[in-house]
Amino acid sequence: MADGVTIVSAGSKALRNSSAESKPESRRAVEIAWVLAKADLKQRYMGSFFGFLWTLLKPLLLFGVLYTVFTRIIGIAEGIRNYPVYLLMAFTFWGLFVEITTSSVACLVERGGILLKIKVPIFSIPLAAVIVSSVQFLATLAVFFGFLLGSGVDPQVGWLALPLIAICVGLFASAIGWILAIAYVYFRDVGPIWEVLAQVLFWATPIIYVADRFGKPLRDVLAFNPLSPLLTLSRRLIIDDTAPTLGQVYSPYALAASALVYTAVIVIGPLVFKRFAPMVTEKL
Amino acid sequence: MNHAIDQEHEATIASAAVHDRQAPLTVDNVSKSFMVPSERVATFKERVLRPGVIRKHRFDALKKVSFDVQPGEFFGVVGRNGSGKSTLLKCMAGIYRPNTGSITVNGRLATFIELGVGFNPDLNAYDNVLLNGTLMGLSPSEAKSRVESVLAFGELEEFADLKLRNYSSGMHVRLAFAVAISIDADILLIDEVLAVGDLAFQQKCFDEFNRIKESGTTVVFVTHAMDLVERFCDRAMIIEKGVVQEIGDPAAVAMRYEQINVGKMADVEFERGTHVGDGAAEILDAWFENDDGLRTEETPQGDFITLFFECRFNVDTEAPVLGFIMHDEANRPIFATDTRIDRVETGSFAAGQTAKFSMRFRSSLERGLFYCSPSVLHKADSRVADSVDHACRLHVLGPRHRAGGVALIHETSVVRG
Repeated sequence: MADGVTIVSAGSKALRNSSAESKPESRRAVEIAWVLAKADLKQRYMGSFFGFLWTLLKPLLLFGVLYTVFTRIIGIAEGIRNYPVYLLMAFTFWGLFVEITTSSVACLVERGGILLKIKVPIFSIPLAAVIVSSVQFLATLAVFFGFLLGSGVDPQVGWLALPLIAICVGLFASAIGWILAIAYVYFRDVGPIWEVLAQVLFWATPIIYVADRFGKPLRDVLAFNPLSPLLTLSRRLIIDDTAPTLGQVYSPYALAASALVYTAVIVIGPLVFKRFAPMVTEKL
Repeated sequence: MNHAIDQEHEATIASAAVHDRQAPLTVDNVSKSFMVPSERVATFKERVLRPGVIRKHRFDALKKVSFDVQPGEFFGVVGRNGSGKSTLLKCMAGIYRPNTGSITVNGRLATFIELGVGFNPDLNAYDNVLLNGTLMGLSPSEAKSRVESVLAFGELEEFADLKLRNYSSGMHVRLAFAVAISIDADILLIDEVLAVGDLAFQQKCFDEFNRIKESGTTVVFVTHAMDLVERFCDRAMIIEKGVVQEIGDPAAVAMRYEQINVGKMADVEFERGTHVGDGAAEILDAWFENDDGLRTEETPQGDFITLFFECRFNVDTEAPVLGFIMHDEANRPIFATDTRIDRVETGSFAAGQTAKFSMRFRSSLERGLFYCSPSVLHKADSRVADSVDHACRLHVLGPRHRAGGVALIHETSVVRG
């Protein structure tokens, strides 16, 4: 339902609306995303205390396993101050990234029942997935914060950067998610392909290790993954103010390349989505 | 009395306001085609492993469709499965984007392709009303403020906290319908949502249809059920193979619909049978002609029409009996006659001579298909010289199918006792 005059026509301007009228369209996308996300969260957690606990326990359990393996058995933690706190923080951010991307992959296809029956701003569907993942992230973030306070790490001014870094990670993940969601409509094996790629990315991101573990060339190569400098930065800002700075870890070229990759992804993601979204309903 | 006058006055004002407005919905020269790949490549792997060009062919679902719907009109769109009516509906709803042309909507448009879109079985009725209502076009706060009345309309107040999973299918439909009618829009696009539910529920839908119609809301109703179009619509459009066939009065559209669907409604379409007989005669041709002397396979109900068949005699034959039997779509005999019954002298024929049989009659037949099976008999022992089952057919076009095969000329009356 749209107020005023709506003209749907062929050509590049699919939906001709005056600028004053196109505003409700984006507001409606947010409204619908919010309602869908709320319903989704309610379905998962309402009246199921253990359901909620499980979303917190799952990353914590994995964290516990990795922590044990890498400190007790492999000894990767040697020389890293507050290693467990770093591991949990990196894990929390990684959780946000992987939750947003994997829940975005199939979202358009899963909501096909809605998209094919009612005109809904298509963007509201991946937006709902992002909202759900973000709410879950906030819960794990609270756990991390408790851990941070309890671990004896001195409070730092850098903690204030935490929301900003979370937003950076979230935006990056969302942009990838939008590309994946579109790709999945055309190719259904994008799901498993992304699962494998995400695994590779996990090990290519300084989560269980820190970036300066490696020699100069390898660090710089790994910096192509924008999550690497982001985590290196948050280690310095949040966990350990004696940790090396971005400039000490990476060469300027590597940082520039990383920033370029990051920018490219968050620009291309929305563009791809915008370009292909009008065709999605025909391919479902 | 005063009150009634006031109401009438209000109605006049309302209708005047309605006519001042622009057409709520204008569809202008809309075409929509889909590229259908000859083989479906659904995975990235296949695409990479076989990078060749995939042959695609274009399927034109809609071809230059134009029409407009007037304020307050109940407009029907009829078509068979695959006629393009659903594609048209999705284009009007904004779900598909047309390739060419434009669709202009003046006012708030609500689409009902399915009832209860987005219903989540794990949530209770309250949450589902919010969800469905928002998807259908309400703002979340509007949806919230209408939950009570929606539940009341569906007579489901006491089940507000029950998960939809535990609803019976009847309650489910009631809830979905209650949300649907709580959406106030200027233009409603309605698909055949009425296919669901039991008879009582359908009746409720029809009542609601009448209410909507009277309230002056513009409705576009897409269906393949011609009788519903005749029952509710002010105007209708028929679409076939993506092309608009006719727009106009529902009765006229119904007749065109019949014409397009000739034989396709019947379970079995009868093929012309083979020759059966001793070969003394051969039926060469059988056909219908209208009063203009033109061959035809269809006639409006009640018009005069003439059945013809021609036969050739292979041996000398004395006073053969020429006749036929007519069957309907269900192969029930409707009528039969022959020259003996009608006391027509046929005379004698030499080998090689031909004869033409004709029977002119008023097509007092019900709407539908009728098949004629002509035969030539020997006079002496009624042996069959030749016969062909279902040699020709006649499609009778009428506004509405009642029942049976014959449209009796009749008068109806009721006398109060």
